[in-house]
Amino acid sequence: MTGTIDITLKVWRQKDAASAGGFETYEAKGVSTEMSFLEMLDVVNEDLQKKGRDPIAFDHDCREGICGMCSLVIDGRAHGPDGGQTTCQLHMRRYKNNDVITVEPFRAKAFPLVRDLVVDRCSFDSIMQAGGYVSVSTGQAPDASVLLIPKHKADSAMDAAACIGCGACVAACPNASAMLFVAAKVSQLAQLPQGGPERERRVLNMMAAHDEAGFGACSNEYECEAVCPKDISVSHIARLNREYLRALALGPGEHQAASGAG
Amino acid sequence: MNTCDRLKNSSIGKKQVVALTGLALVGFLVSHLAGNFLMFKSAEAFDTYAEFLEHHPLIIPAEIGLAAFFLVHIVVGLKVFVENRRARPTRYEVESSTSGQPYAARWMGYTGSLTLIFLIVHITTFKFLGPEGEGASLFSWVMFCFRNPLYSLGYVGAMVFLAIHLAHGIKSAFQTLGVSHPQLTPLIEKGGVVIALALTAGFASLPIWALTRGG
Ligand code: FES
Repeated sequence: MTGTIDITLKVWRQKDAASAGGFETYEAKGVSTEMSFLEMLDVVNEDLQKKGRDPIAFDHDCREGICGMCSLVIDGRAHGPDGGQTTCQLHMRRYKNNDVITVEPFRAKAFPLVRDLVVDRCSFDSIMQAGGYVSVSTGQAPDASVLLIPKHKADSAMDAAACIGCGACVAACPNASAMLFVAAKVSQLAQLPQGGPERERRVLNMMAAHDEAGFGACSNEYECEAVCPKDISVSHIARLNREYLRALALGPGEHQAASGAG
Repeated sequence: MNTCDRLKNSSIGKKQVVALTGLALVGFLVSHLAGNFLMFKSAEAFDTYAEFLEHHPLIIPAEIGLAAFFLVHIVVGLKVFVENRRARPTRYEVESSTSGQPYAARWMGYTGSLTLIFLIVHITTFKFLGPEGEGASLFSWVMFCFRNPLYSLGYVGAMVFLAIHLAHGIKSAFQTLGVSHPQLTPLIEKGGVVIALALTAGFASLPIWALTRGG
């Protein structure tokens, strides 16, 4: 059904991390229900600019649910009212005429606010740099059948690999914990032979970077799983916990002990 | 950092310590409740058991061990609770829960703290107060305390908080220790709640029994 609706937006506005922020209310009239949520914000911004006011700053890039750049907590829920999708995939047909929509930034100590709805998610990069990779020698591509991977492991690793690193898990977690993000990365590589050589120090170092950034600890409330646009299961968090226990028992491995990391 | 430091300082390590000590304490509660149920049998049975425990050569080391488990569970648990509050300095305007999980998890610090207050009163009453020496009956002392409606009300109230604490705690401990299984996990989740309710109902049954028994 196509049509137009009038909505009221309550948006968090904040000039920068040092200034105090607050909610501002905007009336958006005649919003096409065909628009995506972000397109609606674009229209609101055009209007603001015409009036000589600062547009609302928000993050976005691909606008098709694959890059993990868009964010927003919409009416108390990261990435909006429907599960399994990103904010950029949310459309205005989800709303009714005269709806009031509250839009807030992702809130976490480890995601410092930059401006309005934009937060700095570089702490995820620090976690990835600490171990979210495999070291491989370059050279000829190996034969396809050299590394045998059971189907169920390949599937589970693929499910974990669906994580786009948007940070909704942190936004939704009552403790602003990034455990689901770390779990997805650790779980993906722990199940594949390529992840084997760095297995122990990966989990130890990534968790050290997680804690260092100021994320909280998981209290198993599973809010993360409920909002994850890629439906990453908390069973990966159990695997992360298992990997961590295993690494505690085995130690980080010689290489890491020598470099003194972690 | 070595393994010990990681257990002490990392977010997962701390939680795994809380999970392990918590499960051990549930084990203690089971044996404690089994002893309590001797009250239903007879005053003699209960007093003989109490006497036996009191004079057991291993009672002091056992008590020290138990106290250590409690202490570690409480100190590390509260530490995680406080650190978790700090990880989100600014709250949301619209607070919501999407997972549909009960708020028991969010209240662990509070239900745990209330249980700690109960624990202090409980140990003071039944270990340090009460009759001493030859012929002193713990049974009569417990019955005396439980016949005070205020005391019993507090006791039953504390069991409600403990039930909420354990309803999340037991299943959560398994997830934290890495147990996740397509068939087992749903069982653990239900079983944890059942054990929490059964344990606390068992403890609460004694003051209720004492109050209603008359005489
Ligand atoms: S903008 Fe790329 S996922 Fe939303």
